[in-house]
Amino acid sequence: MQRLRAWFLAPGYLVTVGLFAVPMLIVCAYSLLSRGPYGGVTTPWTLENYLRVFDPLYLTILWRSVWISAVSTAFCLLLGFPLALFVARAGKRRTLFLNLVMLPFWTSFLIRTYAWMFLLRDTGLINTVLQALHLTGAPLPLLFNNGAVILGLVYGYLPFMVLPLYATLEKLDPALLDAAQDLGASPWVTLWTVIVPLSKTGMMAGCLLVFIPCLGAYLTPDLLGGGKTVMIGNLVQNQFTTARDWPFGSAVSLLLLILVLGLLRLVARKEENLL
Amino acid sequence: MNTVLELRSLTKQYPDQRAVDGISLAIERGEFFSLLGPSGCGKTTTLRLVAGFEEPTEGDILLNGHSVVALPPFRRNVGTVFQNYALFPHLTVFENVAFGLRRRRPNETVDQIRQKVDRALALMQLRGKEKRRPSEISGGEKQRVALARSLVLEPQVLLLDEPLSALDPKLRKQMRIELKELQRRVGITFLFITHDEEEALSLSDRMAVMNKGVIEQVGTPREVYSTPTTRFVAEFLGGVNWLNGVGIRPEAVRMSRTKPRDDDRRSIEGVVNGSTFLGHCVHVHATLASGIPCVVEIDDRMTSFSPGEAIHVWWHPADELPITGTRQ
Repeated sequence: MQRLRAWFLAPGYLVTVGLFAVPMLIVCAYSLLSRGPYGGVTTPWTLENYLRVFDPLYLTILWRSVWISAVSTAFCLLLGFPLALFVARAGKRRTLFLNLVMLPFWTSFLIRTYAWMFLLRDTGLINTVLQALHLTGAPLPLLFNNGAVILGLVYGYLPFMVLPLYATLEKLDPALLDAAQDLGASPWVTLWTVIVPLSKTGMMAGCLLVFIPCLGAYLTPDLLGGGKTVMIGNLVQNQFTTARDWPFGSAVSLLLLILVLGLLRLVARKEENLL
Repeated sequence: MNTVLELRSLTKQYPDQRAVDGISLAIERGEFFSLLGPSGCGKTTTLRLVAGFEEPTEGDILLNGHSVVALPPFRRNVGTVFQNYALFPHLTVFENVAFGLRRRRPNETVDQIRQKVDRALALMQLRGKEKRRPSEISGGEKQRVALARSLVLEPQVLLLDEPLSALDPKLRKQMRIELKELQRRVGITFLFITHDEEEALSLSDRMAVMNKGVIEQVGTPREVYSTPTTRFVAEFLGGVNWLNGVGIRPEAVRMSRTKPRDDDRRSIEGVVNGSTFLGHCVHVHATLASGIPCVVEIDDRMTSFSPGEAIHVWWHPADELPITGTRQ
């Protein structure tokens, strides 16, 4: 019995250790080494890479990543909450709407991001229509800016907000809503005094599920930001490709990891039943 | 008459069924009125129509003589105690009770609200539990919080949706007494929904028996029990024997080994099948001459019958139930 258990657990252990723990250790080691003359890493061991992160240039990138992620998360919450509430209250058609929320996952994220480029660019659908209707003379600068990146992130991660919110709202006892109205609360007051407080757990989960991948996003800022909106993800990618500075890239990605873990700790302490 | 709540030909049609089918009722101020019926008879739908959670298909609901059909629940002066209490899990006992006051009495000061909540909690013996969450109190306490939460608003009518059914049997009997006592003290009209005939009989000033969306009979518990007008009411409230085509309660049927001589007593011969001991009495099951089953309630200490024994059952014509209704 004990041996059988070990055998069943073995693949899981192998994957976790081989594909997660070992690479992490390699990244750790690289981050403490120096950049080789033709890329790669070399001795001596140093803390130089970590100190470089505090260069104002990189702090700006870090700060931009945080605020863009925060704004995207806020938009996701703002859009996702009513959507989740609607789906949870949709009765028999609930499954249909839930499937619609998940439908985008059937197409590659890359292709969907390209689709946004086609919509937003100067000769794209939106600008063409606006000009045809003579609403604008020249094409609006919709692409290659912070706004486009936020739009792309909100679009991409909205389902991650909707699903945990839906799970919480779906469990909400409808009698509580009746009770609130019975005690004199209008639907609007009921929303703020009963529904919102009782879906706090779902909101926290949704915000984490959106904020964390946003913080590490690199495809969206790369394509929709056009290289002008550099986020941590782009910085890391850049160090491993163009800049050929693997040690610095490793240090930055480890800092990102520490940032995310710290955030999780903070939330977990507040919301004991969440994690 | 001082009618506080009146239902006029109230109807609720759902796509697949007619839950409430044209019921009319007038409930007096200060009355403890029960709506009794089996599950699915439309009693809960009736309550939800009065509270405003559902809109009637036809008919009218008058509160103090004014139609409230067009008003949303948060503008109707009725309170509801829900079957599972529906206490707000994120709020303390105090906040639960204060919830309605904050919404319905926006002009009251914090102190006034505190005083009212304190008084309501004292009335329901909930002092000292103010800071607890609903998950931290017992079933009986939840029940009392739910009552306090509605009563603190002094509604015209308090609707109670099977409030005792979630309690364990012992607590249920105790709460039944407390509920009646409470209603007498606060003087608020209670509309009590239940499927338990014992609750309806013991609590109500008047009651209505509902079946398949219609009201079968309205009256005092005594009237409804001893003079049921329909077969359904007779059978739903206690057992009935159908002897020679008339209904007689098990406690009104007598049983003896010899044929009774008195002329105005009606009797039928039969054979004892067995008996069920119920504590305060015994139910003897017999099959009568014509093959009709019959249950007779007897006092076990007086006499006992054994299976296979030939017996006579008899009754006074005065005990025959005056069923006149045609409804099944």
